[in-house]
Amino acid sequence: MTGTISAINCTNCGAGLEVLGGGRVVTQVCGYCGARLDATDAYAVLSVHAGLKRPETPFKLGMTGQIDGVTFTIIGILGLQEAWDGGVAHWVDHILYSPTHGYAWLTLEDGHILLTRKIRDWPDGSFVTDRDVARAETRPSRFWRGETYVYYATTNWKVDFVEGEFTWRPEVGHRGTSISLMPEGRFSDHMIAYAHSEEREIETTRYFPEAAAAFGVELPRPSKVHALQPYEPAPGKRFYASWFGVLTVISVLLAIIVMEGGGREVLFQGTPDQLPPSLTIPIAVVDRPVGLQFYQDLSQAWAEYEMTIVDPTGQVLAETGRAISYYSGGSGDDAWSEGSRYESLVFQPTVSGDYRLDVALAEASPRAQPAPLRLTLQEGQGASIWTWGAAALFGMATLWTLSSSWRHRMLRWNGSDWVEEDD
Amino acid sequence: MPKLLKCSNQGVPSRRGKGILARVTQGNPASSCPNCGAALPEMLAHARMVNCEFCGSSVVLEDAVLRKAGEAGEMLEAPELIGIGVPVELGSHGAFVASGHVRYDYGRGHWDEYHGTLGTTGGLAWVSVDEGDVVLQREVPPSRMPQGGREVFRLGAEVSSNGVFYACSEVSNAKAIAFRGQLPEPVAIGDTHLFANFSGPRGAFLSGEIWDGGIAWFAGHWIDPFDVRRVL
Amino acid sequence: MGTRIIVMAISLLILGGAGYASWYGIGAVSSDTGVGSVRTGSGGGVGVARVRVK
Repeated sequence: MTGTISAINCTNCGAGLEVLGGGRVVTQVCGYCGARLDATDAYAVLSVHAGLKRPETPFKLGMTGQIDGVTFTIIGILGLQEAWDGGVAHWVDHILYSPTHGYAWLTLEDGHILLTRKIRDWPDGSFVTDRDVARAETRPSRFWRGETYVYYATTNWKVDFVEGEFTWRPEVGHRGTSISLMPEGRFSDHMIAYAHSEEREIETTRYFPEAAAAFGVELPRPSKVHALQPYEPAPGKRFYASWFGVLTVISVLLAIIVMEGGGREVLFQGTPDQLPPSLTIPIAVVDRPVGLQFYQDLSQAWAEYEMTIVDPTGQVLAETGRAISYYSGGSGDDAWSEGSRYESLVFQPTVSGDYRLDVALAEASPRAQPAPLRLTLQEGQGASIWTWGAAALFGMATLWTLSSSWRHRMLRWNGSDWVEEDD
Repeated sequence: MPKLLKCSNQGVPSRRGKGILARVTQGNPASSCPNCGAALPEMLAHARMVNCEFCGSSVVLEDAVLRKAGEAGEMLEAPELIGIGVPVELGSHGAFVASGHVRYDYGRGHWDEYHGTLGTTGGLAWVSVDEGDVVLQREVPPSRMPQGGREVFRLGAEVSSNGVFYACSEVSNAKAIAFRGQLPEPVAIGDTHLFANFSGPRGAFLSGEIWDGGIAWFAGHWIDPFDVRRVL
Repeated sequence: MGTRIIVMAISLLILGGAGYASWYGIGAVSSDTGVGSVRTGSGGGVGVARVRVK
């Protein structure tokens, strides 16, 4: 807290530089020539970073904004990157200063803004290092302010841009490690991080989109869900969940009605040799198919039936056959069965009236001949597969809508680099 | 990443009096400035030093007699988290009302120390504020003082007090540049003393001060500056 | 709001279409039936007989 000086001239290039920070600032980096100046020694040049590529950020030095009712000024900008096999991630740290509340960091990462502050009341347990993480069999965890934080990710960062004032001596190429831990709870919106470069610090970071309005900047739209991003239900979530839920129920009911509906009538019951040469089927409804179901209580046997269906006008609607066979064996987990005791034939009636059905046993294995046969007629045979399909579709839509907070949480933890080891 | 911040505490009886005061006594009525004659505020029971708002003198109490000890120093306007006479809530520690304020200089900047009463019991405490680093401390009685004396005033040194272990994070000199209000003992404006800061578990914080012939310790905790709120 | 109406309309169409298709048994009719269906040969054992539908 001090500062009678409010501007200096860069001792390297002569450009006028505002002095925005407090008495703890030790380095000022000229945004024009990249000179690193020693704020504790008459701004003597420490080194010069020529040709630095400015990172993309709408925040600028000297901007002020309110954070929880306290005015902070952006005094330094630090470009950072992390390289891994898949590429390079870039983010920008903005050093904030308030004479009464000290220093903080505003981080811009893929359009997300985070607010980081150093904590003094360190969690119990040792300082988490990358060696601890590498050796751990389960995610390392620490308890802080009533919550358990579990390992999220390790960031090995490197400085690629510096401008403004800093309470330490940042330098391009300067590296450090930050190990972040996050509470597992659904509503957690902050992390703690064990940061290790020249010094060890523990920081707390929270998601802070309010910074855009507070500092009057427009932010790019984030492309991914951030680890700290709170879940916000999409507008209409409740509506869509109810809508699709109701449609699912209606579809299931329709499917049941279609399956169970229509008049069922047993045409014949007995052994195959008792089948009359001809059966008369009165059919009134002609706009829906008619189903004929064959059921024979077979075991290790097969039977083949021939059938002819003739409509009231004498037109042949079917002249075909159906085979039933059922074999089984084994026991317990090895039990198997093949074939089915059911067969069916579905036809579309042409006109209402009496239809003629001729059914006869064509061929059969010896065991099939005494086995009881049942022939059932269903008028108004539907195809419930369509409504079951609709029920499945609407059911999935309901689950998708209802699972949005769960999916958001999964996406938040997606960024974790923890790999469970199989043993 | 950033630095460790410097904090120190004042409040050790007769350590920087530099012979200005020989003895002090308790309990004093309102009086007038020995330098300009202006009325001084009524002195608190524990107060041994007060500033004259009219002539800028620092006035000390000696044998029930007020004497000019020097100047109270220039207190430049700066945004402050805490002000004399303004009650502030210090997180879960209760309300603090400052009655005295000392400013220390470290070259490029300054930090502030406030002395006052804490909570409903009215216990005396120091609060130091340095660019958002706020520490609340009380004096450690001699029976619980860390051992080692001047030897432990070095970075990394480990001490224990009252069963809590601390590690030294900073050793530096502090120079008092100004004071306002009333202080429990005289502070010599312009004088420098050596201090050391020690960090303990869960935000525990210990400070030591050393001078010719004496040592004093203060123990307490860090407080989040966002937890410091004016009592409305 | 517009999106909701579109989603409602499309889902009602799907429900209606599925209900109609189910009720009228679209796809349920056996392929070996139909006006003038004639048997073209025996399956010769287990299985469906081969037929020709005019």
